[in-house]
Amino acid sequence: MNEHYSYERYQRQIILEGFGEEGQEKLLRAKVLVVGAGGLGCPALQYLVAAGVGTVGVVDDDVVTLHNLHRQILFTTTDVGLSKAEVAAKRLLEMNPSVQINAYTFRLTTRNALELFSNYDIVLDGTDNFATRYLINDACVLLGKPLVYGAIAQFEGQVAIFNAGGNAVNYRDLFPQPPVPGSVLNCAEAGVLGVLPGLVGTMQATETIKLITGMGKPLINQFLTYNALTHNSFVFGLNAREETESLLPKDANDFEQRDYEWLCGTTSDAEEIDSDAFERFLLNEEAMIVDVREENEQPEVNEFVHRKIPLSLLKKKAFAFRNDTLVLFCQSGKRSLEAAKILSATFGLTKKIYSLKGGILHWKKEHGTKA
Amino acid sequence: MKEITVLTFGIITEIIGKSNFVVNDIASTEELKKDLEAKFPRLRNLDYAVAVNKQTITTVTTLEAGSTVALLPPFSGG
Repeated sequence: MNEHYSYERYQRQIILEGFGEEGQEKLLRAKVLVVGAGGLGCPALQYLVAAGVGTVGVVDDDVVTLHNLHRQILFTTTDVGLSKAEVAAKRLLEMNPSVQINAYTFRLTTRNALELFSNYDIVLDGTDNFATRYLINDACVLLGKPLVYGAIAQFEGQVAIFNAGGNAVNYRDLFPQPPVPGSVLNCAEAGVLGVLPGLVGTMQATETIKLITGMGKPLINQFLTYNALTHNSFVFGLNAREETESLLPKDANDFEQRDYEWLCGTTSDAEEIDSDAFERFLLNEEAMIVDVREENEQPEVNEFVHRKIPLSLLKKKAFAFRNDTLVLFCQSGKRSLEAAKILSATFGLTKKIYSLKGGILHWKKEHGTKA
Repeated sequence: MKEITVLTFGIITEIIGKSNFVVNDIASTEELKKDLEAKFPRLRNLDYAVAVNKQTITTVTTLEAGSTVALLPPFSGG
């Protein structure tokens, strides 16, 4: 590396009090892995590379799509359809050829996470789903790697550093278990203001640089919230929970056996059935038929025996389901599918759970009269 | 009267309809959760972290006059 060249490139930060050439050398020696080259990952990558972090890895198995471009400004319209990790690496290298960029185009799984993470000092979470967030957290805890966390929803962001320093707190101390599927919407469902991940991803880069150089007070064991509409920002101190240890994988083997996609309800054993199959379940005494609509919803159902457990109470009343086969219905089939996913996440493979497609309205139209 | 300030975030703000409000004479974080869940049933199926006076709590916590309680749902987006 050309020392003179690098000094000129980084001169404006080297002259900062508390940063200096020492800070620059710390960055040069640092290895940071960014998981997800999306809304958070792109700005984080851009600033980490520009600042001169010596080795930067980017893992993403996705390709650039047109609806990414309003917030993922590392990519251009002509990149649509191309590998995010590869395009990101190419562009980042153009920005700063003195940095080592490693592009990983595979999907992060329990099979490759530990090996990949062990090559880096810090992991930056720029993912967009709970399954990968819990996977990353658990891998970082197992390996003792600091995790720079960031997440967004609509107009709000969260930033924290987990698993760093003494009495390290991790993501599960804050949110012990993945949320019930469907209870928290993602960007695709709820929307996101394009500039928001730019702000939050940049905050993650800021925290990473502080962590590496020792400048300022990084958000270790702290949790920052930011609202782009009001610019309100709060910092909360995080406390460890006693039960966290019991939720974490015991070792690498335990970690590799876990199915985070299933745990987070991204894959579901819940099955949608049509009206004919529903008819057959009505004759099956083993099956419990459940109306998950809220109280007093119309139309009333008196054609067959069933229980009423509204979706809003489902999680609390899950223990009431003793049958091994559960058949759920609602008005249109949407809420019953959501309910089926909740119960699948609760019971795993111990129960068969079905949701009536098209709901009771469709069933009444097709079969209601002859029942 | 014992005033408690409640700060909400993300989907909890959406469900309740405001992000900053005052409740009176609530003895504990558990009572606050029950009270809000009764008024807003959608909160029942939601997991969220709770902070009292800017520190997350891990057990039910008694609330004093002037306490600030924050209800923090997880965000998945990126």
